[in-house]
Amino acid sequence: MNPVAGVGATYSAVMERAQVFQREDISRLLEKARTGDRQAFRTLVVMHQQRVYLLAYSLLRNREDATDVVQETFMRLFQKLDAYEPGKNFQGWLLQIAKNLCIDYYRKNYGRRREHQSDMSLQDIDPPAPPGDSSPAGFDLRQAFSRALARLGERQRLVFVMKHYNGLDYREIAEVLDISTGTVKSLHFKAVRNLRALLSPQLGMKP
Amino acid sequence: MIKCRSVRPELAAFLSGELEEGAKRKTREHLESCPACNREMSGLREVLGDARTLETDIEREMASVDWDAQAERIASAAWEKRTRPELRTGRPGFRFFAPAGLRPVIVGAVMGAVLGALAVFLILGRGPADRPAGDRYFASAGFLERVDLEIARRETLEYLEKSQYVLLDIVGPDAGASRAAAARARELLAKKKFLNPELDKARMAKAREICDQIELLFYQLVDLNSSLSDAQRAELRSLVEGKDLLLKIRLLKKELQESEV
Repeated sequence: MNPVAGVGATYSAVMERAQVFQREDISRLLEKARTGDRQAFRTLVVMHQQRVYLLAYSLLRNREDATDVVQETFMRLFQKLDAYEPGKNFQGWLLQIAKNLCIDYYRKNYGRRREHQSDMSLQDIDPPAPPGDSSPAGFDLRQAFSRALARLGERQRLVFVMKHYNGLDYREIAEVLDISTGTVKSLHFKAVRNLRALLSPQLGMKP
Repeated sequence: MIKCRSVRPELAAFLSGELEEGAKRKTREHLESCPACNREMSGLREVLGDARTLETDIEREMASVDWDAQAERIASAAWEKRTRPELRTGRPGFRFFAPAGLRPVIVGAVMGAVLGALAVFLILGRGPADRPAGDRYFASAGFLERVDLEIARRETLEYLEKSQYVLLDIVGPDAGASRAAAARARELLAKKKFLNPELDKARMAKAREICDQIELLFYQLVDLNSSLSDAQRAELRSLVEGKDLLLKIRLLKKELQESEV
C-alpha cells in the first residue's frame, strides 16, 4: 500500500542542478544581463533551459516545437528583463511563460497534427519503443498512454505532466498555473481518474 | 471513520506523496478497512505506473539535446535582436505628441467629448418634443391624421353652434331677428364651402349630411331674405321642425364633443 513515490524522480538531477543557484545569484545575473552582459544571460539560459525544455517536450512531444518554445521563452525573458520583480520565484515565472507558449503551440498545431496523423501508420506517429520496453504485438502502452493524455482537458494535462514528468509538487504547479493548491489536487485526481477511464478498454488488452 | 467520498479525491495526492502526515494517516486507516477504496486506489496506481512508460521517451530526448549549443543559439538570437531592434510596427507618421504624464488626461478628455456628443445626439434624436420653435419638424403620419381630424371636428362644432343660433332665430317669434339671421346664414354658407373637404377627408358622413341640410335651409333663407313674410317664416320653421334639425344638431354636437381627439 505504499504510494508510488518514485514517479517523476528521474529528473531529480535536473532539479538539483537548477537549485544550486540561490535567488541572489539569479538577481545578480539578471542585473548583469540587463546592463548588457551577454555571458550572464547565457548563464541564465544554461541554468534553466532544461526545465523549460522538459516542460515543453513533455507537453508537446515534438523536438522541433519544444526547441522553438525554449528559444521563444528566453527571448521573452530577454525582452522583459526589467519587468522581473526581485524576490519573485524566477523559475516559476519562466515556466509560466513557457506554459503559455506551449498552450498556444498545442492549440495551434494539435488539431492539424491529429488530422495529419490519421493518414499515418502507428509506427510513424511514435518512434518504436526501446528494446526493453517493447510489449507483445497488438498493444503499445506508450502510444495508448500518449493518446489518452492528449485527450485530457488542458488544465488536467498540464497538472499531470508537471507532476509526473517535470517533478513539480502541487505548490510549484499552483504557482505556475496561478491557481490554488486545492485546485491542483482536484485537477490531478480528475486527470488520473480520466486516464484510467480512457485506458481501461485498452488495459484489458494488456498482457 | 472518514467516508469514502472524502477519501477518493485524495487518492491521487496520496499515491503521489502530496498528502500531509495527518491526512495520509487517515487515508491509510480508511484504506485498511475499505475494500472498495482499495480497489479504486489499485486502479489509479496502475495508471501512475503506466505513466512511467513515457518517462523513457522524455529521458532519452533530454539526453540527446546539445544544451551548450542550444544556450549559445538562444544567447546569440537575443543579442542579435538587442543590437538590431525590431522595426516599429505601428503606422508610420502617427505619433501621440504629449508628455507621458498627461496622456491619460488627454485620452480621458477626448473620450468624454465623444461620449458627450453621443449623449446629445441620442437625446435630441429622440423626437420633435424638445426641438426649439421654428426648427424642422417631424411627425408621424398617424399624428398628422389625428390633427386633421381634430381641426375638422372643432370647425364642424363651431359651424353647428352658429347654425343653431341662426335656426333658433328663424323659428323664433321675432321677425327682426329672422332677417338678421339671414345675413349670418350667408357667412355660414361661405364657411360651409371650406368645411366640405374637411368633412369628407375626416370621413364624418353623419356630420356632412346634417351640415348639408342646414346649408339647403340657409340657401332658402338667403333667397327669401329681402321680403321675408310671416308665411315664408312659417314655412322655414316647418322645414326646421319637420326635419328635427335642431335636435339633430344637438345630438351631433354632443357626439362630436365626446369624441374629442
